[in-house]
Order: sequence, then structure tokens, then C-alpha cells
Amino acid sequence: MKNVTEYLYPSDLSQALILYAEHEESAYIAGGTHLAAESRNNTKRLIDITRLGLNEIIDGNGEVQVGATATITEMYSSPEISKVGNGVLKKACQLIADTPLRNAITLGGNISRLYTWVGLPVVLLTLDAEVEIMNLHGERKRVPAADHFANGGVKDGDLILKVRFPVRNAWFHSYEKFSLTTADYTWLTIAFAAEVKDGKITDARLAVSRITKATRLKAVENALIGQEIANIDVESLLTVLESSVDIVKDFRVSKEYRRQLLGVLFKRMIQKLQEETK
Amino acid sequence: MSQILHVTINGEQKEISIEPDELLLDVLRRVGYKGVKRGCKEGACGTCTIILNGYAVKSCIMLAAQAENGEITTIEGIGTRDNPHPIQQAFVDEGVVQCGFCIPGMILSAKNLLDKNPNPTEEEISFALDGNLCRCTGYSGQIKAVKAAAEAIRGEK
Repeated sequence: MKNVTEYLYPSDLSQALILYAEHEESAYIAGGTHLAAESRNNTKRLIDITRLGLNEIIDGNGEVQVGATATITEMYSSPEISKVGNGVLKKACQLIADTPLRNAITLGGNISRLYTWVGLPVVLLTLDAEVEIMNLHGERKRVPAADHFANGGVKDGDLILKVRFPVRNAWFHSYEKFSLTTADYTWLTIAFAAEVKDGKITDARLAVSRITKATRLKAVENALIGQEIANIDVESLLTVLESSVDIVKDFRVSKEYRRQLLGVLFKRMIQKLQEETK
Repeated sequence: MSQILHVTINGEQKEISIEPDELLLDVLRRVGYKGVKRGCKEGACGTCTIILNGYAVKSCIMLAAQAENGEITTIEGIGTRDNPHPIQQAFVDEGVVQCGFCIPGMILSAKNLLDKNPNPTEEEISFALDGNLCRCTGYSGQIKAVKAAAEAIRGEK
């Protein structure tokens, strides 16, 4: 952040929007874990949004609303978060980075820029979460997570206010991160959710990141729907899985390794689904 | 454009002139808190860990301005050579220090845990220390030391 010349503390949301709008090279800052380490950035004005009361976690109406500046630690420690997806959101929070980083990283920061290594986007996708965003005119909109990530995250001047997570405890949920050490960058992050009725999969969500941008694998989801839990055709699912992801380059690990890894983690999730829904 | 950072460090109120792009690590070291170590400077190793407003954070990947009106604890604020903090004493007693470079951050992470949870399990200690890398000794001794410190703080030792 070599170019920053102003660091400002708005007293409310409307002031934050005004401060952003009056300078072309503005950015909002919350945990700042990426911004502070960023050396190639033209931002001149930083607007601190951590003092605006945007960190509330509220449970109600079949969903848990999490404010954008809630830290991963606040989420992990919250009893409300444990209620989402049979604990899958809490597990995702547990596996993000390390303790001092979880104390700084915020929900909004984790989903505003589309870095492939961050942990929460896949679980937003499998939970059908909604991202609530305010634009520079103060207008609020609710964007399905799938659209938010497909459209490239936040647009210039947009401010994430909260994320609405459906509780969705009637579904099976699973989340895995594969990395060499706890605090290392992930090699593959994967989340899976399935609705099972009368022994059959009636709906499914499967999302991956790091091997590609955070995305749902709809071909696999469609292939899962209708399968009997006791007789899931794993081999044909793996064929669909392999052809549905264009794995990006990573200088640390080959595409072949990560393709194999994807298959192994997916198979384990299917086994877990079968065990838990017998 | 310089600005004044209002912050309490180890119980002392300070007004420090900072640049908006200065890292908290650099500011703390500039004003004399050399126990805050500069390691990787990318949020990986944890030797720059401090406690800010009750949470252990890595000061190398946050801007000083983020700490406005905050309360900071550095290693200088928790004990002295003559009167070490129980965690510092336990690290000495258990012999879990070699080069020592990671220790200030690790002790502050441990303090942050014990302030909130005076009787942690081994798993909870390991989770609390997962952001502090030690390249000399490994971690089992340090986990043992934190357990011993917890007992001392609880008055059981």
C-alpha cells in the first residue's frame, strides 16, 4: 500500500459512501490482511468500515445474517454460526488461515475480491447464500452468491453489508480444504451439499475453488440428482467431475495431482453422505 | 499526509505520528517496541504477533491506522526479566526456546488464549498457536509450556 495518502474513519454508512465517491482511487478496508501486504496498488484513500456496526450476527426466519465486518473468529465462536448447515459454516471458518489471521480476516473481505485461495466462497455457493450489497447511491440489493462470484465480486464502490445464510439443516453438508500445513495456502477447497428424500438425492450443490475460481460444478450436481444413496454410480460421477473443471496452473503442484485430489475428496464426501443418510 | 495515531500500548496512552501507509509492525518498532519481530512480513510466520483490542493479530499485515483508539499489548507489556509472566516462566522452565525469534509472538498468542480460556485442552492450545511458526524446536514443548502456565495462572502449581 505504498500509495495511500489518506486513512479515514467514517462515522456512519452514508459518510462512508460520500468519502468513497469523492475520490477516484478509494477503497474500503476492514481486516486489511490483503491490502496491507499489497505492494502493487493505486489506492490513495482508505475508508475504514470496521466501526460502523457491520459485524452483527443475527439468527431468525430460517437464516443467519452475518455482517460484513464480522471476523472469522467472531463467526467461528458464534453459536448462531454453528446452526448453519449442520455446522458446515463453522468448519469452514475453522479451516481458514490461522488464529491471528482469523482474528483479522472478515467475511466481507473474504468474498469481495475473488482470490481463489480464500475459504468461504464455496460454502456460500453450496448454501445458496445471498450477499447484501449497497451501491454508491445508497441502494441495497440482494445478490445470490452464485451470481456474485460469477459476476466478478463487488463492483467499484459497492459495499458488502451482510451475507444471509439459509440454515438448511435438512441437507447433508461437507467441506474440505487440502493444504500442506494448517496455515498454508489451500491446494483445493471443496464443499458439497445434498438433499436426500426417500433414499434418493433430490437436489445437490458442489463447489470448488483454488483449482479454478470459486464455482459450482452444475454438471456433477445434475448427475447426482435422482441417484439412490445405496447405489451411487461413483465412477461415472468421477468422469463427469473430471470433465467439468478446467484446472488452472499452479507452480507448486501439477494439474494431474490436483485432478486426482479432487476425485479422492469428492469420493470421500460421497461415502460420508452414504454413511450419514443410511 | 501524516496523521496522529491515538493508541494505548501496554497501558500507556500514546500519540504517534504515522503515515497512512505505514504498517503497524514498523510503527511499533520505530517507537521502541523491538520485541515485535519482523519475520516474513507477509502474515505467515507470526513473530510480529501482538494483542490488539483483546485479539492476537499479525502486525506485519495491518496498517498502523487500523489501530486508532485501540489497546495494544506487546511482549514488553507482560513481564520483565525480574518478574516474568507465568507463560514466559513456563517457556524457560520447559526449555522450549532455542533461537527465540518466534517466542514473543508465540507467548502473546498463548496469553490471548489463556486470557479467554484459563483451562484449555491440548487441541485448543495447538489451535491458538497455529499462526506462530517455530523452526528450531517443534511445538510439543511449547504446548506443554502453555499447559504449565495455565496451571500456574490458575494457582494449581
